[in-house]
Amino acid sequence: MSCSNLTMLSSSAATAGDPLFRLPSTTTSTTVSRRHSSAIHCNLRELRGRIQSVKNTQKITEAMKLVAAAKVRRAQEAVVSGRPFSESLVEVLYNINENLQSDDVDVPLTRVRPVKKVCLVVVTGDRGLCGGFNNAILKKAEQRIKDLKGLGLEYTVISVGKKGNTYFQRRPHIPVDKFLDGGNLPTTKGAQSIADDVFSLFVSEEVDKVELLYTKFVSLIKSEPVIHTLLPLSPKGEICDLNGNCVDAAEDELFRLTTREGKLTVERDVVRNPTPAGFSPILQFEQDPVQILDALLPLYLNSQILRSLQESLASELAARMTAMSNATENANELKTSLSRVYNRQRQAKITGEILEIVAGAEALG
Amino acid sequence: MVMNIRVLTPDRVICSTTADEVVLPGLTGQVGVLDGHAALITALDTGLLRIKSNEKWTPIILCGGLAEIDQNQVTVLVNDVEELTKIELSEATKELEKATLEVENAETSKARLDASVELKKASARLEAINYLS
Repeated sequence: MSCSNLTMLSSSAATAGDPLFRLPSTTTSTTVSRRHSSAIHCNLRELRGRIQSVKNTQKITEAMKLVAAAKVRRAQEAVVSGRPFSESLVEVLYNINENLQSDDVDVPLTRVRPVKKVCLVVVTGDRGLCGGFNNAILKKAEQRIKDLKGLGLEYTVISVGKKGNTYFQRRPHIPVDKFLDGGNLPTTKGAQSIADDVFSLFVSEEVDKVELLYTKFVSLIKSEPVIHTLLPLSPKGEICDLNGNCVDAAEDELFRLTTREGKLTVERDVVRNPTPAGFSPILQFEQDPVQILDALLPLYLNSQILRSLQESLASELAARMTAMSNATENANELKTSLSRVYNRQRQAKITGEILEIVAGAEALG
Repeated sequence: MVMNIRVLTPDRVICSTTADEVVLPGLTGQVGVLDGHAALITALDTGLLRIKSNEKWTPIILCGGLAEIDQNQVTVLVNDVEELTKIELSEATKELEKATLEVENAETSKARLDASVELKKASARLEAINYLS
């Protein structure tokens, strides 16, 4: 069935060639000519079949778009419902830090060591059909791995999400510590299991730095893969390897305990409630500050991971929404051009038949 | 003056209400909070949080975290809370015994840690039943 080729519906490549046979996948000249001739050689029945199948595909892409749109809303709600926690947490952390500035506090999670081995947590989606979403983040990971190799550092990967899992499983030369499933909606439990792995790797000094690679949700039509340093939770400064060279990624966004970072990006367009006046200056610590930080930092780690999972999911859904809306548009276009071909051929057939009849009548007369 | 209490987990707000008295499961023992308490930060252990309002205690089982008290506002930040299901007293006692045994029989330090968390939860559950009935 040369006429039923429906691949690359979702590609938004510019259409070229004969306006009559504008097919969305006409990217190279050879395919143009092939499509060209194949479109001509289709008979009416085949064309009808093809139009029908384009219609069906369009219905599917339309439905996927709507589902993604509804899920984006849910993902945003999840982010919103987690906001009070992260806001209070950052506030408490900020105030504790203010109170502790003079003290030299030693907590395992903040310990900065010379870097020998780096752990990369790569967050991907569970499904495809979402444009370049998964590719973009995996490319970022490859790039970072190359950089680390260039710096002569060891690395290991924790892969979150099915797409990343299959990617790394196909490349056995990349050492992977663990494969984790992303799940439908990011939960505290999911974030906790990642945090536990990361925590034990870091505290056992197996790795000296943990970086989180995920897709940041900027807006419904824009998202970008980013690298965050997760551990050590260093208040300031760069993290160096044995020779004192900085190993931070160039565009790395460090989590700074002293800043009010860690705000959700989706929040940006929402008016924030005015935060109540800060702590009273006389703040008591029930326990030793170290103990309090010990309790607080895992919470912080968890909420950061949960946030990145949520953002990654929101980006995935947004990417899928865009891809599917493109696909629907392309299907529409394809349908129009196909029906035009179909109508012309039908007309040509009728004209041919009339000509035959007229010629026959003339021959008789 | 009324005291406000908020219990927050990373994914939702568990409760946000007014209270007359709050008892927190602090890392160094229980912390009772009344109206007009001084500003305080405390780390929380796995255990039972009790909120008293209108002469009635509401128990919530917390899984470790942090609480801060400031100007009659208690904010409890925890990783997770455990759903309170209606279980029988005898069942809870049995679970507590089982958890105790597990702690005693744990071989690795990680297993012991996990088991002791379970033990704390079990005892908190038992305590919660007393407040529910």
